[in-house]
Formats: sequence, structure tokens, C-alpha cells
Amino acid sequence: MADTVRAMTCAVICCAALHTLAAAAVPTIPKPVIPPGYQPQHERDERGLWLELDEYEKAVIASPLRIREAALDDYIKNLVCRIGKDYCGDFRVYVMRNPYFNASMAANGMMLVWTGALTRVGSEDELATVIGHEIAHYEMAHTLAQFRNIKKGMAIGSIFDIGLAVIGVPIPVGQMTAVLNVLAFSREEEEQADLLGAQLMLDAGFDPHATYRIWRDLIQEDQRAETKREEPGLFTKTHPDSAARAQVLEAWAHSISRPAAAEPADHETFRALIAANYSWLMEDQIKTARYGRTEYLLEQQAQFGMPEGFVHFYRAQMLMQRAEAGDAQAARAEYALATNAAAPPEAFRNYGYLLLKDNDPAAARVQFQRYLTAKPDATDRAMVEFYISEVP
Amino acid sequence: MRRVVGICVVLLVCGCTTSKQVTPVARSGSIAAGAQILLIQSDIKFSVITAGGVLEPQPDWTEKARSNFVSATRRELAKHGHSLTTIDANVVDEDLAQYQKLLGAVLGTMFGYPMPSKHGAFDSTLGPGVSFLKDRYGADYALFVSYHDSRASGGQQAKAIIAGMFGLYGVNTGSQSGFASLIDLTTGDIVWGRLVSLGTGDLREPGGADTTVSMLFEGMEGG
Repeated sequence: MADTVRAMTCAVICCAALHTLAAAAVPTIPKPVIPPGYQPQHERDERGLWLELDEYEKAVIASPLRIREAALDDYIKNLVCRIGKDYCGDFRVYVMRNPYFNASMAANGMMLVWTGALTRVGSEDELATVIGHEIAHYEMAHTLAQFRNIKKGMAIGSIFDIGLAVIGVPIPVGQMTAVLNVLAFSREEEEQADLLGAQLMLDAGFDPHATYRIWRDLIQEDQRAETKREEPGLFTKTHPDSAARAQVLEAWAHSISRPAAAEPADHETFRALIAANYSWLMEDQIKTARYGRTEYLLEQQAQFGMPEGFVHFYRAQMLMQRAEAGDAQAARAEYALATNAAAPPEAFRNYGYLLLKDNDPAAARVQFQRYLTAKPDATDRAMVEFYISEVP
Repeated sequence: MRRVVGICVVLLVCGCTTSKQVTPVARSGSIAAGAQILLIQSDIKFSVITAGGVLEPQPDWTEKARSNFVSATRRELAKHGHSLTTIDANVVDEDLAQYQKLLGAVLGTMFGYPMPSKHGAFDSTLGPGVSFLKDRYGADYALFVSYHDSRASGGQQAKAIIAGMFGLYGVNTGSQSGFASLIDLTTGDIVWGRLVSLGTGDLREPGGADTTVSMLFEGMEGG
């Protein structure tokens, strides 16, 4: 009997698999499961988890890692509302300073977007893909189901213990998000969220072809990782089979005729916003010491239209930090390019130091002076003036 | 057989109620009389340990535990002529959150990993930067408290008894532990601190909260 059931189950699964393969050309878009403004009816033990989640959210709000930059914060919140439409009121969105690629949605509507997602998306359409995907998880009640599964498998205290632990170290908010994300959705749920998310971003007027482009970019970034230590990225670890999913999305994007966008994507505003925050975003990225990935991102950003001088400057900074054979020479060339375009004032100073090391004091002096002109209130002014006075 | 179970239960219960562990620290000198004390109960929580050994926070009992704790603290401080101020639990004070983290780190070095360079001296401070709390909440001292009260569910208690019959101990039937620390809001100095693991005092009952509070705050007046 048991064997029969197993055989039948297998048959059903196999049929389903065949069906999926056949349907891969034109995937069906799943429907939302919960209505806007949904309030879950809690079991007694579930409310305990909810309490923990609310406390975690308070820690997120108080965290210094939460981005308080109003323009950036408002922009992301607007984008979430534009894609989430009627569900907008269910979400509370926080942009978190973390250079890795991720976004997450909790069962209570707390959405976190890591700044690493901003350095990686090449357009508003791609960012809309990421946000649409997370909203889809919520609308299809995946987040709620995941949340309800937590207590089955794990000691809640160990997941959410963010209190003022005296003995033992409280888990920082950044890592907490990682812990939450380790509770991955199933492959099927991810595929569903891909498709509903894609529909949501399409309905909001975004380019459906961005849905698979972002996956391809992430795969390429993973391939550029220099060391084993660099891979896999957290996102690709919790979102497996990127290539297959990109394929499904590509099939979908080609199958639809795009409706005329009521409100076309505003790429200029997005580009200007990333450009305005580019320096600290890239400084965070460089600090990860993932040089292969950083190099790839800089190439992407140059294409995306980030200010040329800044891209050269951060490539030079990355090379100086890596400090392998030939990197100093390459950095010198990058600084030279940076100083010929609009770049952070530090480009002049760092270029000056390299010129000094290369026994070109006259050229170094010029760069040091340009640095002080560009940044009269530099905190290291005395040091740079000393160098100027020392060189002939 | 019944006697064996009986003995095991007694052992278990005794094992619980007598496991009081206390690590106190205090500066010399006492608190000025009639002080206004700000209670920062960041993390008072009541959980149930299920038969699976999972710690499940209980919102209703947590709420009760928090309110009983505040009342008991108010009564305890009144005995010494001090009065109590509290903060709305729904308000997120971002500046305070940073000092809570700092205090956690400092207390960690005091209770957990003492710094050899201190030579046992008790002179840790959060610095005068914390004095903004004095103006913001009109208090002379801040009393930071974290306390976790957990009880075994019926299933977990049964498991403990059965385990005891087979000579196996270490089935968690609950714990009551936490810390309290008093900060002088003018100087930022840590005036007093105490880390406890009590095994008694049920925060769900006012009487239990009184027991907890009097044991937790013992010696706060300083010497």
C-alpha cells in the first residue's frame, strides 16, 4: 500500500515536472493569496514570535546601519508603494547599510533593502525586480508560512535573541538579517515569487527584460570572484539555480507584449540618486576586500553612467588596497584618469603620494596643491603642506 | 517506584530553588536620598519551554511580567525614598539604544571577561555623554534591567521527571536570570550592578515579582 502511494506520488511529481518543462515557454503567473491590509489570526504561541519580530524591528529602527538619508529612503519607499499598490500600507521599508546584495521581507511587512543591492542594479527596472520579488513573497503568504515554520525547527530564542545580552554577544542587526535569510524559501516558492514579482513590476510600468538581466549580472559577478572565500554570495546561496530562473523569466518576458507604461521608469532620477551616494556605497564595497567582484561592479557602474572620475578613483583605491604585483602602477594610471575628470579631492592627494614614490616630486607637488585647493579644510592639510615643503 | 519518582521530583525542585547565583558589583558610597530613577527595562521576557525544548515567548505573560516588575520596583525603591520614572515601551529612543549596547559591552567585561588592566577596580563608566537622559526624562539615575523568566510546559516537566527516573539530569525546567545596573546620569558612572540567576520568583504574580526585585536589587544602596 505504502509503495503504491509512493509510486503514485512519484507519478504525480513526475507529471508535474513534465508539465513544468512543457510550460517553461510561457509560465503562468501565480495569484496573491492574502488581501491588502491582512491581519493574521494568531495562535497563542505564534503571537510570541510576533512579539519577537516587533522587537527586532525596533532594533532595526534604532540601528545606526539604517539609512537615514531622506532622499534615498523616500525614493525606495515610493518605489515599494508603486509596485505594491494596494499593499503599500502593509509595508514598512528600511534601507540598511550593508554592502552585500540582499533584500528581505518579514511576515509582518517589515522590508529590508541592503545598500549592496543599490550598487548592483543597473537601472530602476532591475531594482523594481528585486522589490517586486520580495513583495510577491508577502502577497503569496510565503513569509507568513516561513514565519510559522520557524517554531517547528528552531529555538526561537536563538534566532531572535537581540536583547541586552550581558554574557555573550548580542547579534548585530546586519547579521540578524543574514540569519533571517538563511531560513530560505523553497525552490518552488522562489519561482512563484519571481513570476508574480515580475508581473507586479510590469504592471507598475517597468521593463520586463530587467527581470532576467539582474540574475545574469549576479551570475557574472559570482564568476568574477577571485577567491573561494568570496563565494558564494549570500543571495545566490539562498536563491539557488539563478541560471534556470533567469531562463524562465526570459521566456516570460519574451512571451508578453508590454503594455504602454502609464508612468515610465525614471532612470535619470535613479542614476542621480545613486551618483549622489556613490562615494560611501563604493567605500563600503571596497572594504569587503572582494576585489574581483568590486572590479566587476566598477565596470558595470561605468556602463550605468556613474561619474567617470569617481569610477577611476575607486578602481585605484581598490588596486591600492589589493596591493598585488603591478597594482600600484595600475592605480597610478587610474588616479591620473580620475584627476582629469571630476573626482573626489582625495584622488589628487593619493596620486601625489604615488608620484612621490615614483621619484617625480615636481608632479607630486602639483597634485598636492590641487588637493588643498579642492579641499581647503582637509583634516590632513598640515601633513600635505609638509610634503609640499619637502619636495623641491 | 512511587518513592523513587518522589525523590527525583524533590531533587529537581530543590535543584531549582537553591541554584541562586549572584555576581554583585558596587562602588563605595550610597545614592542620594529621594533620587529620581529612570527604569529602562529593555528586555523583560516570559517564555515557556516546550516539550521539544524550544523557548517560546509568551506575550500575555510577558506583559504581565513587565507590569508586575515595574510595580514591584516602584515599591522597592520607595522603601529607600526614591521614585521611579518609566519610558513608553513603544517609543524607540535611538540615542538610548546606543548606550544600551555600550552598557552591554561594558558589563560584559565586568561580569564575563574582567580586564586585567583594571586590577579588580570598579570604576567603569559610560561617560558624561549619557547625561542627555537626565534632561530628556528628568531623572538622576538610570536603572537598566534585563530579565528572562522561563517555565517548563507540562510536557517539558514530564520529560524532566522521566529523565530524572533514569538518572538523567539537565532537562531544562526553566530559569530566572537577568541583570540590573544603576548609572549616575550626571557622570555616566556605573554605580552598581548585579547579575543573578535566581531559580525563584514568578514574575506573573505580584508577590513573585516582589521576591525577584528584592533579590535582584539587593545591595543597590551601596556600602
